[in-house]
Amino acid sequence: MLLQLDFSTAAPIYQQIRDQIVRGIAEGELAPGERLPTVRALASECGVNAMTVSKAYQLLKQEGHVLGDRRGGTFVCEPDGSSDPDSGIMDALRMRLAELVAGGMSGKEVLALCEHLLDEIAYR
Amino acid sequence: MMSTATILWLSCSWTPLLIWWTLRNSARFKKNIVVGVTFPREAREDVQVKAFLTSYRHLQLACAIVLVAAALGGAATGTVRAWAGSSMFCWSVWILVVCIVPEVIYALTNRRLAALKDERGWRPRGAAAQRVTVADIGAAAQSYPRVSSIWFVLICAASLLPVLLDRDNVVIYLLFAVCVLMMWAIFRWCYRNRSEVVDDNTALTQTLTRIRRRAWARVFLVAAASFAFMSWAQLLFQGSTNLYFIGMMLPCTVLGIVAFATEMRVRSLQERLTKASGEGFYVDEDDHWIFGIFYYNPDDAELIVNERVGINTSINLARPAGKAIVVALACSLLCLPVTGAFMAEEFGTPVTLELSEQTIRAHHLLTTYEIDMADVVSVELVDQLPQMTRTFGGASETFLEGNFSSDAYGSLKVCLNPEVGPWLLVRTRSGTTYLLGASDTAQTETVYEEVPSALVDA
Repeated sequence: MLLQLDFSTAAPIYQQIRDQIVRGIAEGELAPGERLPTVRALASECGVNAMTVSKAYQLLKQEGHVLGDRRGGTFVCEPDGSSDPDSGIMDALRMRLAELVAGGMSGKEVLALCEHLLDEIAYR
Repeated sequence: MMSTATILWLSCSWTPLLIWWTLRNSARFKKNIVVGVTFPREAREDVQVKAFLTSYRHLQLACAIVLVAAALGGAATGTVRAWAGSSMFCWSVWILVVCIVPEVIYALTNRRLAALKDERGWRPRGAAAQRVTVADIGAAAQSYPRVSSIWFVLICAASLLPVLLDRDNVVIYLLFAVCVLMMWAIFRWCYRNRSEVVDDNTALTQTLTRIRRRAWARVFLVAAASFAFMSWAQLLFQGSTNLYFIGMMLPCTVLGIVAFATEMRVRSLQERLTKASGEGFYVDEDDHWIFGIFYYNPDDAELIVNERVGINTSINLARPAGKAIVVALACSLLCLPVTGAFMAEEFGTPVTLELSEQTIRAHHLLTTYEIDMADVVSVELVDQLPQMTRTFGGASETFLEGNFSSDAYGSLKVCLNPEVGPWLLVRTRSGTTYLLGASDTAQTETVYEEVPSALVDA
């Protein structure tokens, strides 16, 4: 899986790393149990500070996407499928949907868009 | 016997050919890159691109021929004693030209190709996306076989073993051991652990990375072993000038051949393995490479970066340390003519010898030996120079200066003109032995005649 970090955008690099790994997991590019690079290796790979990668990994761990430690390495988690989205995800989703509706889209159009995006993820 | 100037010219005359061979190889597509410019696959068959590359190859060849011809001309002028000093200065300027001109041709072709790339719309992303860094997570997570540092420790120990057998030249053996450790340090810290990402093919990235890492380790292990071999050559061949010369040159030659062959082999593999790349997604980092030579990327926190083609490393000029290193390198390159002028001066300056105020004084440019007559035990006139090996100092057909060792007299401090005998062998109470002789025979003979009365006075 390729990470593409854009240094010209306002999005912090740790957030970009976190987002792309989450997308990689969702799209199946990173399989459950797959080992992620060490913090140092990924930092050297991207030419960023090790703290930046460490912060991204911390986020991913907190969100339950990866698990592991310094010595054993970091692995992609097997999704348990049982847990409901946490309040943070629900709030963000609610806000994005509200933005679309406020922008003039109908409920049907929003649903179609969501289905299309989900298909895109599943197709990959 | 060949003059020093001729040896200098001839020993370097082949370098333009080596540079030409390497730079000519840059005109072949590797990792979608040609002369430092990344192109999509379709560009490989483009008539304009081919024309630029043909012109580049011709220019590099012409440059190499002119530089080699100049070197051979310099070697010829070096045989004329009156021109030897000027020839040495020209040699230093020639070295500077060899380092710069082929790279200028490369840079100009790089600009022309980059302009063509823009013109044809071969940039894979928009201008806003120039500050994008691509990394392959799969390749970065892969653990590659590592060369243990133990190998370097063993080689260092081997380079130090002669110390046990020869205590006189400890400094030299230590110097070789330090060189071995330096090879280890460069191997360890001058390689950027970054995958060779060409496109989204992780298996290809892993293979290219493995090839490069292995090649890097091979070159530095051979380099370390070469210094250990030199240490043993110092021990075994110090009595014979010819064997000593061969013992020192052989590992250098082997190292040069191994390094060059490895570089070309890696380039050839990069070319072969990435033949099918360049369609769909491919990595384009051209915006970070000025003229395809200098890496400048403020978004990259690392100082050391890997060259995109071959196994070499480069420096990130966006880092303050990178700027300092490049300025230091540029200064040392520009100092070459100054060194040449110094060598010419050294060559033309006669060795002088005098006895004044109870002191024998031998002088040649930066080397001066002053021996107090009260310290002198004996002074002999020597008609033939002994077989000597230089341990530290300078040597040419008009002077020998510094520390030498010989079977006949042991360690010697030397300041003489080897072409003009006889010479004075001065032994002192402190145990130091000097071998001295002026460029003017009369000076040496005068000092020898004055010595008995000076010894009595002392």
